[in-house]
Amino acid sequence: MENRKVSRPSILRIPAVQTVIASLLCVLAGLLIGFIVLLLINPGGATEAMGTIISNFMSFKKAAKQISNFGNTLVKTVPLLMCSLSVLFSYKVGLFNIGAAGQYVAGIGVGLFFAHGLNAPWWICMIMAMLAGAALGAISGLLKATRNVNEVISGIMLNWICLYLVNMLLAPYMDIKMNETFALKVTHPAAVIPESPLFGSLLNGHKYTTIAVELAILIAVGIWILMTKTKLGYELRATGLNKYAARYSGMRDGFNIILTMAISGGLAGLGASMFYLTDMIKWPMAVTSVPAMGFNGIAAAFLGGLHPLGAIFSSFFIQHITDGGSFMEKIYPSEIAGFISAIIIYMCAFVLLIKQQLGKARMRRVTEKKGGEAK
Amino acid sequence: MTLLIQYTLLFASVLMLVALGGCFSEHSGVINIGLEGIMVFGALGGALALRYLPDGSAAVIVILASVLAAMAAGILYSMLLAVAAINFKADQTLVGTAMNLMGVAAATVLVKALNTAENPNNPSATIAYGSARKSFLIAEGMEFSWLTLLAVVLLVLAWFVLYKTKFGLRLQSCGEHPQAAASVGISVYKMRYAGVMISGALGGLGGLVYITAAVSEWKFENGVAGFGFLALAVMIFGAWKPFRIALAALLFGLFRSLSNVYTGFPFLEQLNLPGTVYNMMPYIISLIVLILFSKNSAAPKAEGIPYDQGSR
Amino acid sequence: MKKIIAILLAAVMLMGCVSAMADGLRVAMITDVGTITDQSFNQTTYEAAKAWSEANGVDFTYYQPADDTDAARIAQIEKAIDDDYNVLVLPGYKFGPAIGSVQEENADVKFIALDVSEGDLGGVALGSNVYCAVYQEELCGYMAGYAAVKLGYKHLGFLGGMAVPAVIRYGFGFVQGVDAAAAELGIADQVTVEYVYGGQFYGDGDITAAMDTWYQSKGVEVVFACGGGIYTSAAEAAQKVNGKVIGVDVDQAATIDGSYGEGMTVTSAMKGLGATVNTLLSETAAGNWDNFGGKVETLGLVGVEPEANYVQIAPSTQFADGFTAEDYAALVAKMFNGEVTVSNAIEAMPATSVTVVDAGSIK
Repeated sequence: MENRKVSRPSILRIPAVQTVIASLLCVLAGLLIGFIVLLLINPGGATEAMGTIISNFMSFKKAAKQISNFGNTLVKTVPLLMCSLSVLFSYKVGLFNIGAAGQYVAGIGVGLFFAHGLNAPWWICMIMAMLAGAALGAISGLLKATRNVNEVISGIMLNWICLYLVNMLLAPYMDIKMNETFALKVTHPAAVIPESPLFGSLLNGHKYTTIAVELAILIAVGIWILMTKTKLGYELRATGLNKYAARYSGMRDGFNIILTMAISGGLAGLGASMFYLTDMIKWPMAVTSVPAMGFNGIAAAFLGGLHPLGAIFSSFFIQHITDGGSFMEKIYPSEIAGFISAIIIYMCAFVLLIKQQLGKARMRRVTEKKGGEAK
Repeated sequence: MTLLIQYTLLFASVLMLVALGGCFSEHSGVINIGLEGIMVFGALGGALALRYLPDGSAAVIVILASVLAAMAAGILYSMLLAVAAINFKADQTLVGTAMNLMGVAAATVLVKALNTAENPNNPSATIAYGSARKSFLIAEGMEFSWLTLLAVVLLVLAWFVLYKTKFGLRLQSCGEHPQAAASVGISVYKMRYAGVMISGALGGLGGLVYITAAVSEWKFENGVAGFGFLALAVMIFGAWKPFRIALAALLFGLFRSLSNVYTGFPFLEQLNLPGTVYNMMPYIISLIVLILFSKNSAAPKAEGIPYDQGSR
Repeated sequence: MKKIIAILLAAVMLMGCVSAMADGLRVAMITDVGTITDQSFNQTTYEAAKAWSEANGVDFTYYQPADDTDAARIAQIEKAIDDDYNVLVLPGYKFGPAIGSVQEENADVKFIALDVSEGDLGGVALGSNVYCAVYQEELCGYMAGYAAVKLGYKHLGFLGGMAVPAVIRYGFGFVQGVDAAAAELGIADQVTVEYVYGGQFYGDGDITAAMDTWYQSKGVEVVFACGGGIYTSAAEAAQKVNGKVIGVDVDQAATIDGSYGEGMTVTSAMKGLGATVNTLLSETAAGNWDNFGGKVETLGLVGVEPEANYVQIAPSTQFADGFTAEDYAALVAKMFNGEVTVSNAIEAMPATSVTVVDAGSIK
């Protein structure tokens, strides 16, 4: 038998590539199922509707409108990305930060308070928003580390407490006529984040694209570096894999838990300020339920394979199809778009399975090439 | 005072039912975050039953039919979790999140399709079940409902099943150490399926109780307004034990209903506290109780970890 | 013979012209925050526009913003225009800034903006392709409150959906009407108004609990349920103690009485949203846009005839000795000739001699 060399290292061997392929397959599967549902409801317009969802801003005929809507999607990707970073960071350490929603709200409240109430410049508002989110996260972490309070339940409780506190905090700054906080660009322009030099020109001076976009991407890269290339990141992940082993080898697991939750919270709070300080969105009077952004972050985190860089793409994708769904022909109920994203997320659950299958398929080929299994 | 008791029991029974469901699932080793979605679907099933039952049916039939429909719908929806988590070893937190996101959207799409099919001019996601709801009430004019009684019965049943039957003990073993359970011949897969399906049934019933709580029609695009997460909190609060869950549910229900009926108590009204304080109270009080009493609570050890027959 | 053919041809051409006008029209509606099934002004606008479009063979669809931001609303407006719709019906004050940004760029598109005042546009002057209509909800709120007290109710309640300007005007008008009637009857010290916002436009367990407290513990007799589907909670609670309800926007007697019991609805404070949509669309189709473009019309009373006004109380009002149909007509006349004035300020609760208990918000 000739000595066959093992073929050059297959690109499929890299786990990252496996994850990307698996995620893509999930997305396709989700879109396919969504398409079938559209067909069931109304066969006629299904293809066009699916086309609109996938193309989002491209469904506009005029280039200028395509660009401005691309800008809208980009701006909304930023908070989603930050929330997904928040969730995936703590998840890697073994904690489920469902309190991201509350930390997000805290960021909104403190950020807008510093803008409207104290007339602070944008970067101070952002830092304070980040600290507010971090403080909230740290509380959850502290309760877990010292009193063994499950972070899920402390997160849920703090979500609601924060919501009501922020309502009270921002009550004096409400524009009664519009039933929401005043427009920052009009009342406190210093608090608005500066326009993005890169995207601004690309997008013909889109009103709301700010340096927050670049900042968010940089932070995502930063988190990836923190998690994979630093000692701290290593310690945090070790604590997540096995708390007792980590403690045995001298890592301070209690402190690590608090630190992780603080970082998570800070990310969510910062993300909130990055969205609200662009003045694209305002906080309505008397909000009665926690905004969904914190929970959508969970979806984006998983779709991105729990990887910070993947989260960039998954957040954009989720925002893309959500916005695309809003432009769909109204023969379909508008909830379809949300339904399709949920199916895609559900399909992500099978990423592991697909990775395994891909791995098995590769192994089979390798063993065959090597001369077959042992008889 | 009667109002306070009525609504406490109402909110508490919703929270308790769903939390008990989650408790069964987690005892078997499957984390069930998707309680929101299960509640919505159960509510949908029950509401449809109420809507399509002929007017004037006997109260017993109305109650039975809607309860069974709600449970069936809940079980069906929970299969999404069961199949993905047990057979395909998917990440359970993720599946739960997806189920929550899907629940409201799917229910709304379904109801809209149904409504439009019946009447093209009605694109709403509302189901009205007016008079059928009356059958739930024990006495006209009050909010005491048979479903609350049912919830109490189910509570006792749950405790009994979990701690006094072979099934319950085996279920728990699958959540603590599935390999050990498998070594004595228990089918971990079957047990976990049972756990998830029970959570579907109870969660679905909880959803029905929630929407028929105090109104005669429900807009499904509103989902269940976060009650599923509250039930999750109650389950953790109750340390995965049925009677403690009941107490947690009562505590929460009490403060929740107080925030709505406090104006009926002159001495409270005179305190002149802003309404927001009352709204925050259930959460603050729960947090305080948690801080004091969580030291020894522990989740089932093997929950969240997909069972792999090959591993040790 | 030739003449007849000529006349026939002319008639056909004329009809062709009119329908050609209507043919060129493509109508779209964009919701603000609610959906087309919110049982409030989005739904009313949608139904009116849809009915008109179907009756006149005009293409019609609706768009819904992805979220509650001006950017999202502008995106939907632009999508509608991109899809070649040239008459846009936009209900809600939230559209102000959006219209301000897009009106100039799209001079050939007509915007019918309901509940939008010039100030909402954000400092921009109204373009000639925009028509704004603002309703004087405080007037019909006043009429409802006045009627309720005259009919003998002494403990009333106001359940607003959310504290948006239109609802606030209904509420403050209601309070002023109650105050005026109580003063006239000399019973100002015996009349109380409970005032609260539900925080949402649908009913659920929490709202019903609060309503139960009002009806059972506090002795409220009639509640003005002013917020889309939130009436379900008020009616549910009223049913248990034979309480009464006041409807809003349209005549809700049929809906409420039908589902909850005969005679529950005392009256409804109505505003002619549907009528405005109809009128505007018909006039635009007939080529009379210039009579409306660039105008902000305050729609309230047009005369002493109650049923012709844009704001009125329902014909199904439970008139009785305390307040008869003639009394109502007299009140409208006084309001029309200025004898009776109602403030439309929304910053603070109007000062009254009756007791008003402001309970903030339920949620």
